[in-house]
Amino acid sequence: MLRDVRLYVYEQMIATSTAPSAADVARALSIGVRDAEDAFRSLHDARMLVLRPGETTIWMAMPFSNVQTPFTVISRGRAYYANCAWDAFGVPALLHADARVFTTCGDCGSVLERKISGGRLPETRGLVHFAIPARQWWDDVGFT
Amino acid sequence: MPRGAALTLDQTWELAKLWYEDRLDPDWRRRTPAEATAAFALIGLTGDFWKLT
Repeated sequence: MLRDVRLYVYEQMIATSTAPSAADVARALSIGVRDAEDAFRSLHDARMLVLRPGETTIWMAMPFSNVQTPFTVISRGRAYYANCAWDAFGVPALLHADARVFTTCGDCGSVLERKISGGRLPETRGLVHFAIPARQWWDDVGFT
Repeated sequence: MPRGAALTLDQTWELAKLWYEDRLDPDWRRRTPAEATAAFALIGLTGDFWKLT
C-alpha cells in the first residue's frame, strides 16, 4: 500500500501543485483515513516524504514543496514550489521536462531565472551554496 | 553560517538528475547512505562534506 500511496501523492502533486490530504488519499485508494495517515507516517519515517511537525499533512514530497518557498519552477504549464536549489532542478529532472526555475540571488537579492531545455542547462552562471554537510541534512530537514 | 560547499549550476543539475530522475518509478527506494555517498562520488562530489557513512 505504501507504494500506491507514494505514487498517488506524486501524481496529485504533479497534476495540481498541491499534495493530497490523507482523506484525499483514502478516497482515491478506497482505504480508511487512518490507514492513509499511517502510510504518510511510514513514508515520513522512511524519509520518502516529510510531514509537518506533529501533523499528518504533507510538507515535502521531494523535490516538491507543499508550502510556498523562494524556489518557483514553471514546467508543463504549471507552477511548483521546490524545497531548495537542488530540488528546483529536481522538478524538471523528475518530470523529464523543460522548465524555468526562478529564485533570488542569496548574495545580491536580484531575481534569477535559469532554464532547463532539452535536458540541458543553457545558462550556467551562478553557484549553489550547500551549508550543511550531507550526514546532517536530516537533523533538521526544513532548515537544510 | 558554516562555509559548506559551493556547486556550479552544472553540478547542481547533474545532482538533481542523479537524485530525482527515477523518483516516479513505482519501485523507487531511497539509497542507503553508502549508495548515496557512492552516487555523489560519481559526479565528483567527494570529501567529508558529502559522506553519509
